[in-house]
Order: sequence, then structure tokens, then C-alpha cells
Amino acid sequence: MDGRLRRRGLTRRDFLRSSVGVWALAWAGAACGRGSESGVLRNTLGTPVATEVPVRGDQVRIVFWNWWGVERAPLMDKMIAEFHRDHPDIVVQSIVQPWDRRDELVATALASGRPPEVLMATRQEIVRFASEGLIVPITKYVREDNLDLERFYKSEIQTMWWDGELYSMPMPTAGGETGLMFYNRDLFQQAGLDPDSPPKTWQELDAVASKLDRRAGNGGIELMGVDIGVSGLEFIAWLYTNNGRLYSEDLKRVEFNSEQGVETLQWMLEFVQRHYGGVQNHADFLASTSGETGEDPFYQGRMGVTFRNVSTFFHIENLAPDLDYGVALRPYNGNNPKAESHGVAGLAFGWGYVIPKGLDEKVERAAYLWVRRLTYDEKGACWFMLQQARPSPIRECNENPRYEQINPHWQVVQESLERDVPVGIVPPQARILDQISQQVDRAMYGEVGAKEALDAAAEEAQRILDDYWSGR
Amino acid sequence: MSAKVPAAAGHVAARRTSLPRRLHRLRGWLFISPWLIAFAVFDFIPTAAAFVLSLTNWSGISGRFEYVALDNYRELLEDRLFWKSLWNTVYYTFISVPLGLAVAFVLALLLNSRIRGQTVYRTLYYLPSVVPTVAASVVWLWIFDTRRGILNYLLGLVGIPPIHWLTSPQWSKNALIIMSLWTIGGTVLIYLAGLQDIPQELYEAAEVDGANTFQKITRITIPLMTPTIFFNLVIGIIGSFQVFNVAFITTGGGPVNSTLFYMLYLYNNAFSYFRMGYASAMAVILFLLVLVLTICVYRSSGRWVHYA
Repeated sequence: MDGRLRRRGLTRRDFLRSSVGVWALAWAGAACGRGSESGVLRNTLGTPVATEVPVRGDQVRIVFWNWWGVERAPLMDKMIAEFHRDHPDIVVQSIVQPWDRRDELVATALASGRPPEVLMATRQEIVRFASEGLIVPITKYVREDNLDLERFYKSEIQTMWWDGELYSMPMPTAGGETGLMFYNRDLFQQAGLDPDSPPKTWQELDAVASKLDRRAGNGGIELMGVDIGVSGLEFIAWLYTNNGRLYSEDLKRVEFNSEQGVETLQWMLEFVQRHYGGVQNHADFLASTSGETGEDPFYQGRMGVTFRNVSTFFHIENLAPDLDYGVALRPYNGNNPKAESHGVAGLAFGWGYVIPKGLDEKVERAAYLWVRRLTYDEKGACWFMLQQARPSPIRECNENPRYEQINPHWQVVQESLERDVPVGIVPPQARILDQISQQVDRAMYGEVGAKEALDAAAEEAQRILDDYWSGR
Repeated sequence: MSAKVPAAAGHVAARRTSLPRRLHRLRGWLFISPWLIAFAVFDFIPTAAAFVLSLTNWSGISGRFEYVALDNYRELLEDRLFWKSLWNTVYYTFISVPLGLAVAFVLALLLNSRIRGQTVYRTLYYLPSVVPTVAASVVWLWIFDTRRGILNYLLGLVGIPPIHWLTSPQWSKNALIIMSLWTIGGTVLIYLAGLQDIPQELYEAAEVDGANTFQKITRITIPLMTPTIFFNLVIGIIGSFQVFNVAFITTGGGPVNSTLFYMLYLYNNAFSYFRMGYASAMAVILFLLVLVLTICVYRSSGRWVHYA
């Protein structure tokens, strides 16, 4: 063949044959790479997650990306089926996305200019996307439909606004994350503590820890009396129980390095030294454990008090059904007369549902109706949360008597949600929280003192804030 | 005869003969065109775009951005975490790469010897390279567990007190370096291929001259393996500067940013902080760093790599 080519060169026919062959191979390879069959919707890992429902000419399709997990898919499917009955002109296609590298996935979807019609987003993301002009406000729809936003807890709906516009409604709660204290009643009794009088202040918490703590022979922890947490986010949660806050009211000044802030971090540092013998012992004790597995020391009776979110009820029921536990509000600084027990909403977790810009008007309206079903309507917002025995951001949903039958601690949950305060959220929130986390980490490892750490974080955070506001 | 052919006709004849040749050349291009197009779309254009984006304040998600000249680079010079992440990565590279090369070389020598079950051993050593990083990281989290980990248990048997492998800023990088040895199977395989290329006659001649095993390794094996060592060194440097997964999964960059590697910080800037312009500037600096290091290694290769 080579000889023939050298002798005669290449004919047009050979060339065309080669062209067709090469490109057919490339095309086939690309098609195999996609591995697509028509009618199958896949998540970003390539896992088939739904069959594409055919859409009639008069129907609108809404692709809905969410992170509710496959275990809740049957519930989601029921909610969608009910929605289809009420809105036969809209077809909702739910795609459950993986958690792996979620940030990357969301950013890529938005940058591509072809995001789904409805996207589940965190509070921080909503503010960020709104400030970048990537999502549409739903204020006009909410006004047209005359929705009563007072139905939501104030802490829940407040973080959905940016620049005077509402961008989503919440579901599930962003509160109920930090306000609850879970304690082991058996351990309380064994230590001579009254399980019906859980600690209400930091000082009482300290005393309880002293009674419950048990150290191992090598200096490590055998039983952790109280896990107050050692991270930057835990610092912020405690800060609000000492009448401190993250930002000023207008979100233009950082305030976490206030006198209350320094007092809070100092209290945490002393607690860590006194009760854990250092932050490494704390980390070692909790290594390879998670509140979502039976390995968790609280479920195993090796931890007296812990601060968890509302999903813990579900995990205890499944992983430690025999655990005798109580629930109370997060203690506050008893030495500060202005301090009260508060949880914070919007610090972590807490979801909303956003509609990207650029959709056809009819599609945008359909997307809003689905967001409304998820977050506001009885058939969605209330029902979906009740099925999971989790609280709804809508107060009246939580007054359903079935909750009390399911969860004997329900009144504490409701009180916690009422007391939750919204934490301020600004577009560069992730950077600012990282500054706090890094400096709290340094303080925990003894590299710097409480004041030095918070001042350093505040200086950097303020610079980030100033940059943001000056660039608007 | 040909001189009598009119000029125009001669030109046509020339075109007739050159067309197949041109088509032939074109066919070569055609065959590599799928790769070329993919390279342009997925490598060259994004790389060039990173250079351009590094001069902007693009968030990575919106269509809006402004030209900020060298501001991102200026900010990087003052960014404490940039320097920290660079130091962590350089430390990791300068220890993990030579260590990995040495361990892989020793393993390859052992696997190259004629022993029973040779293929089984080779498979066993290569197996970790195909285990997903996430699964491997979970296993290593258990191994490094201060209280219940097998490593501290074994050290305890010889009287060494527990080490806070992943919870101490002093030990965390070293723990990840040890973990990096888990995936040297690929390097071992390349060494094995190189070892099998060494002519047996050289060893036989050395034996006749009375050389012992150590002398054979140092005088024959290592010099003849230098091209392979050189290849693994370059690939190792490039790979270790891009270390990301293990820290992302096992430590998240902690404790106290002791495992905040360059790529992890770049990723945080791009996808957590939505600062794609800044992250692009980091990518450009990484590109230049790796380029300079690779050139240095290439320059030095003339002195120690033997292509006999």
C-alpha cells in the first residue's frame, strides 16, 4: 500500500474514502463517549436518574436539579405527580445530583448559560447569584399571587432577600441547625446530674462537662462530656448566644471581633484545654465518626452533650433507637445580662430554589409555580417536611399535631425555630467565613490568642467586604 | 520536447502531479484532525483563556468581568495562603517525588527477580493504582487514626507513642506523603519495562569479572535506567504539583492549613469563592513554575542521564 502511494500519490477517491472513514470513526467515538440513549436523563456522574417524559406541544418542561438524595426520590415523585395533576401544562423532571464537587457542578452549569430551569441552592449561593444577576427575582409573582410571607419564620425568609428583591422561598429550614442541644439522659443520671434540668448557661455547661468527662490513661478522651465544637462555624454559633453578631445591620462592617466575640472564643479555647486537653484530642476522638453512622460517640453513649441539627432525630431513630436522650436549647453566656439562647439561620445548610435568568416568560412562570409548590403550598412545603419528620420553615406547618406524635421533643424544636436569628449574608460570604475558620483554627492550635485571631480575621474580612461594596 | 510544451499546459501538468501529493499530505492532517480539534478545544483554548482571564476579575459564573491588568498577580504576592499553599506543595513535591522514585525502583528490582508467583506480586503492587482515590482515602483515614489506627498500633508495639498523623500540623503533610506511596504502581510498571530492556549479557559479563549484586546495580542497572528515572522524575514533579484529591478528601487543607496544597487553594478560589480570574492567575503561575522546573531538570539531564 505504501509503495502504491509512493508510486501514484493519492487519488481523490482515496482521499474522500479516508475522510469519510476518519470522521465516521471520530463521530462514533464521540457518540460512544456520550453513551446517551434518547429519553434518559442522567446526572453529572452519568447515572440515569429519570426517564424523559414526553412533552406535548402545549406543555412546558421544567428540569429541576436537587440534592435531596435518591432515598427521598419516592417522596419527590409523589410531590411531582400531585403537581402534574394540578398543573397538567407543566412537566417537572427531577434530577438528583451527587454531592461530589457540588460547587464545581453548579458553577459550570451557570457559566455554561444552560442551567436547569429550577436549581436547589444554598442561602449563600442565592445571595451570590442574585448579586451577579444570574437569577430572577420572584417578588412580582409573589405579589401577583398575594402570598403571605409572614407564614415563614422571620429568620427563614429574611435571608432570601437581596437588594429589595425576593429570590426564593426556603425549604427546608436554615434554622434548627445550631439552636438545639442533645444530651444523654442515662449519662446524666450516672454522673448524678438531673436529666430534667439540662444546662441553660455556658457556666452550667462547663460544670456538666466536668462531671461527665472521662479521660483515657494516655491523656486522650474516653468519654467526652460536652462537645462544643472547635470550628469557625461553631464559634459563630456560640457568638450569637453571647449577644454578638457577624456583621453590622447594614452588612458593611464586620463585628465578630467585638468584646463579645473575643469573650466567646476565649471561653471556647479554655473549654477545649480544660475538658479535652487540647484540640488534637478532640479531633482524634471524633476522627472517622459521623452523625450519620452508628460509629458516632453520642449514639454509642461516649458523649454526654452535643449540638446538632434537626436531622439528628431521624438518625437517632435509625441508628440508636434505644438511646435515652433529651433536647434543650443551646446555652447562653450567663455572665452577660444581654445574652440569650439563639440558633442562627443561614450560617450553613438551608436551601432555596432559584430560577436562572433568560427563560421564556411561560417557562419562567412555570418554574415559579414549581418553586412555590416546593416552598409555600401545603401539598409541597408542609407535606414533604412532615413525611421526613423535619420542621418546615412555615410556622403553621409545624403546628400539625402529627409532629408531636412522631417527636416528643417537638415543642423544643418549635421554640428553637422561633428563637433563631438570621445571620447576615453577603456575596463574598464563603471567603469571609473561611477567614474566620482559619484564624479560629490557629487559635485552637495555640498559634495565636483569641483577640489576635479575631482581629486578624476581621481585618481581612473587612477588606473583602470593602472591596465588594466599593465595586458595586 | 518538454521545452515545446506551452507554458500554460506545463503549469496544468504540474498541478496534475502535485494534487495527489497535496491530498496525501492533507490525509495525514485529516487523520490527526480529531485529536487536533480536541486538543485545541479542550487544552489549548482553555490554557490560552486562563492567561487572558488572569487579567480580569471574572467570577466564573456570570458574563460580566472587568480588565484588572496585573491586580490578581499583585494580590497573590500579598496573599498569605498563596505562599502557604505553595510552600506546602513544594515540601510535598521535594519529599514525595524522590521517595516515590526510590521506593518504586526498589520494588521494581524485587519484582524483576525470578521468583515464584512473580505475576501475582506485580498485580498486587499495581492494584492500588486502580483503586479510586476516595476509597483509598477512607482506608488511609482508618490507618492514620490516632486512637484506633493500625499504624499507631504497630508503632505502639515497639514502644513509640501515638502520632497525631492527620490532626497535627507537624505530621499531616508527612502522612499524605506516606499515603502517596500507595499509588506508585504505575511508576513501578515503567521501571519494570526499563529493567527488562537491559541486556542480560552485561550482567553475565560483570559476573565473570566478579561483580557482586550491589556493584551490578550501581554500575549497570542504575546508569542504564537513568532515562526511565528521568521520565518518572519529570512526570512525578508535574503530578505532585497538582496534588489535590487526597487533601480534598482526607483533611480539607487542615489542620491550620498545613495540607492546603496549591491546587486545593486554586480550587477554593475558583469554585467556593467564585474568583475565577484570581484562580486563573494562580494557574498561570503554576504553569510557569512547572515549566521552569521541568526545563531545569531537562538541562541537568545531560549530566546524569545516559542514553547508551
